[in-house]
Amino acid sequence: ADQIEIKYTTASVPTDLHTKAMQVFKDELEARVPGRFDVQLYDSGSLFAQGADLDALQRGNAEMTYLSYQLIADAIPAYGLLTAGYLFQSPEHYRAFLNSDIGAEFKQTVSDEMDVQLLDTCYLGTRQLNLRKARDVTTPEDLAGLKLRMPGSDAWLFLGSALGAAPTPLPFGEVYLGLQTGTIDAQDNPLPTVEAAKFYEVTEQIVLTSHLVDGINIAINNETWDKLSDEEKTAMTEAAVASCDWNNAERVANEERLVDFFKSEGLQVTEPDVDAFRSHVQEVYFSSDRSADWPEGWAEKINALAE
Amino acid sequence: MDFFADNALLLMIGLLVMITVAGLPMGLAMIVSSVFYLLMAGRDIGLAAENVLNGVFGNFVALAVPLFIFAANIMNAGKVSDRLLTFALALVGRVPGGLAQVNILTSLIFSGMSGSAISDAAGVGKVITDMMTKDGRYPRGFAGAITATSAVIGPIFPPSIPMVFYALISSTSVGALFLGGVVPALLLVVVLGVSVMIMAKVRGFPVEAAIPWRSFPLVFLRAAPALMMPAILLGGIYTGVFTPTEAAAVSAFYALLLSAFAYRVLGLRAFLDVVRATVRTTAVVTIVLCGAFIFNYVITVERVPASVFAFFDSMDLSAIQLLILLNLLYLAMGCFLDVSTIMLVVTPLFLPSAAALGIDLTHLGVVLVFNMMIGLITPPYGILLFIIKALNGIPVSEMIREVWVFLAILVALLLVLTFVPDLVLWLPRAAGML
Amino acid sequence: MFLAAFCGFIVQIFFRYVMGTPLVWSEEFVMIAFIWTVFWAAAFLVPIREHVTFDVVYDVVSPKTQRVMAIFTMIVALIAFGLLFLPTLDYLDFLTRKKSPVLRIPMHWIYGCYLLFVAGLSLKMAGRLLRLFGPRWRDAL
Ligand code: NA
Ligand code: NA
Repeated sequence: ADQIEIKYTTASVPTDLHTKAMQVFKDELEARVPGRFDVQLYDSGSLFAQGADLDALQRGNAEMTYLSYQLIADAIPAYGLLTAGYLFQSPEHYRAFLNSDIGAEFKQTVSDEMDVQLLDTCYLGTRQLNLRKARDVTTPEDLAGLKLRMPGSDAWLFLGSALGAAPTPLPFGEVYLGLQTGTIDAQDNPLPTVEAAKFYEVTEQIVLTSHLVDGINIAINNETWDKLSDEEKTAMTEAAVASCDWNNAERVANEERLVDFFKSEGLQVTEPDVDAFRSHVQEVYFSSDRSADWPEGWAEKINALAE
Repeated sequence: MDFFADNALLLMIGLLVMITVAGLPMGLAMIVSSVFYLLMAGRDIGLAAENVLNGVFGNFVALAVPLFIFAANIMNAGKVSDRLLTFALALVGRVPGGLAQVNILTSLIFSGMSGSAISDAAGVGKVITDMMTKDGRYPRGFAGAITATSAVIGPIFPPSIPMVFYALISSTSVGALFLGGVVPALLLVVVLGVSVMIMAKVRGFPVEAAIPWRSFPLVFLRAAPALMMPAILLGGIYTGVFTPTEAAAVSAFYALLLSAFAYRVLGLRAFLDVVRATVRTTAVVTIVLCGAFIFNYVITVERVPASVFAFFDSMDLSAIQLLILLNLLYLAMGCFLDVSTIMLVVTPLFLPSAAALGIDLTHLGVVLVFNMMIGLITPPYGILLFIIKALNGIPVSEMIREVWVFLAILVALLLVLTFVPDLVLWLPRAAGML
Repeated sequence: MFLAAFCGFIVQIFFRYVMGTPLVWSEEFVMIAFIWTVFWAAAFLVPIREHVTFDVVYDVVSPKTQRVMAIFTMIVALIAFGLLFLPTLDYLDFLTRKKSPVLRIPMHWIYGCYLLFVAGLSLKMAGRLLRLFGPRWRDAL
């Protein structure tokens, strides 16, 4: 049979671990079903700009991409739950969820409404606050009035205000300059991003709020998926799991290393009252309109999967 | 049909060259040829809508361009720039080639607030080009060429958008890159100034009439509110009151306030004319950008950059050889492709080999940005030349005739920067960033 | 529309620094006004010959050759824009399920300006083509 062309596209840059994990996926897939797939990797949004890859999958112009929970929630508001702060607690927690009953229901709904299959969730890192000027941060009240940069979408901005700060949308490319000059007082990202984008050069403090354990899904469009035999589907899934395994191990090791690195760069790394943040954030989420259409009982079930 | 599918890229480039030479506007020609490519390659033609729309809608920074054009148009109509330039003239007008010297100096001042060469050419560049060509004082082609050449200072002197891109893909420091651009930009200003002085002597360009020292305070006072604009913008950006894109809006707003209320020369009718002219120019400039978006998609999906570099990787090169080769390659690519494509698509492919050969990546970044700025004024796809044509109506062919000298100067300076890394690295090292 | 974009900016900066409360919708609002300005103006305000053109060759040949070149480019471009029309419609139709990230405006309304651009420019090019074939073809060069 003809080779199946897989254009695998991401907006992330080549130095990102999950960009490198795409190569792992390609190699693992080739090892399992040699010559069956022609996997072409595109990074840096060179083929489709950030936010446009989902459209590309749905229109059959690309076959695979990384799909964030935020984009899924945009399309299916009920799954806004999965983007809430302090819900998932570890990389394994995501996989336990995907492999559970409600995970299967979730994947089916995504397939029905968004026309893509989710193969596995890779760990993106745990988001921490990164402040331009050091200050005492123990509880959410200490962030009042702080101009916290968030990505420019509704869900992110809500998380920012749930943390107690004043969220400010700013494109990622302007964040460094924004921190340098004080357009913003803080940004939130996993530690490896703080290193890669050099934000530590222009900030004084990292507050380990751990407010969001972020994950991103490897997705393939149904148009391609439905063409595959059962063995090929298994090979695909295994290759995706292998690439996330590699990504997760690297990332966890990296995060452990970085706390010391930032200290050596002269940053203060402080521990806030995480419980105070967690209860405040969860209360804000559950007392807002947005939790109205969240699936009944899922939050409890997901909490129970944390072990 | 297989013939068309297999050779879609070549056929497309052939068609693009043909219709461009035959006079179809650049932006439209890129869209048109890409549509034919998508048809021949059996891909979704809707991509020619999707890529363009997502490209424009997602490019917040692109907004700075029309806003700087707006500010420039207001300053023009409101006579603000006249006063500003009268002042600059009083300072350096007596130097041979006075207006051309003013042109270079203002580019340096303006580059302190813009990260893009296009906003410079569209901003004060437009005004001073008009002044230089008024009453035939300077040849039109020379005026356009010096404006284009001095506009490349914009992204070399901080802030700089291409350098931010480079930092992201190479894991170098944005701060170090910004500082690394300072000395090369100042060098460029000095070298250009001296060359213009020599050219002015040889070709007999006008020296501006000496302004008596006693009228100097008046000239300064009349220009003071306008002179404050760069100060407000620079201060605003560096103290973080606004982002560079917002700074463009502030400059337009400030120019508007000055013209309408302080100098009282801009009426409602004149203002509406300015808006209309700005909208037209904005559309013209952005359509070129649109063409680049879909064209870049085609180049990327055909893996053109990847095949080129697979070839270079198979050769065994020393660090110096690689640097020279990269410079040649980037000069060639700069003639046809836009800066962000080269930066984001091509550069990552050889960064590992450059690092492996011991090339300092901060040095490389500044050299490559400098290199790509040369591409902005290199025919046939010298986008700055097109922009000046759109803004000032100077035929591209006249500018091409004059621009060769400046190209030679830029390339010579590029070579110096390539072989003397300390020129780039000294300042960031002194600041403790490396 | 352009003025709307400009005012949106000023309002954004005013709120952020004078009022101390950043606006979350202004950036998207500005971009919508911008994109509509660009494509609407490109379709209806800017004459084809005013666009950025590689005119080195076109400017030196005789009017008769210019006429041939213009007819050729107009026909090629009209075919391409004709080919582009239905896929653009199809893409906009696909977008009916999407909304903008902050303001939640349907994306097909935001991007609808492109259809306007394709249609408007096609009409303009067809008009130029007709004039190129007519007796006063020199005016259309
Ligand atoms: Na200039
Ligand atoms: Na600059």
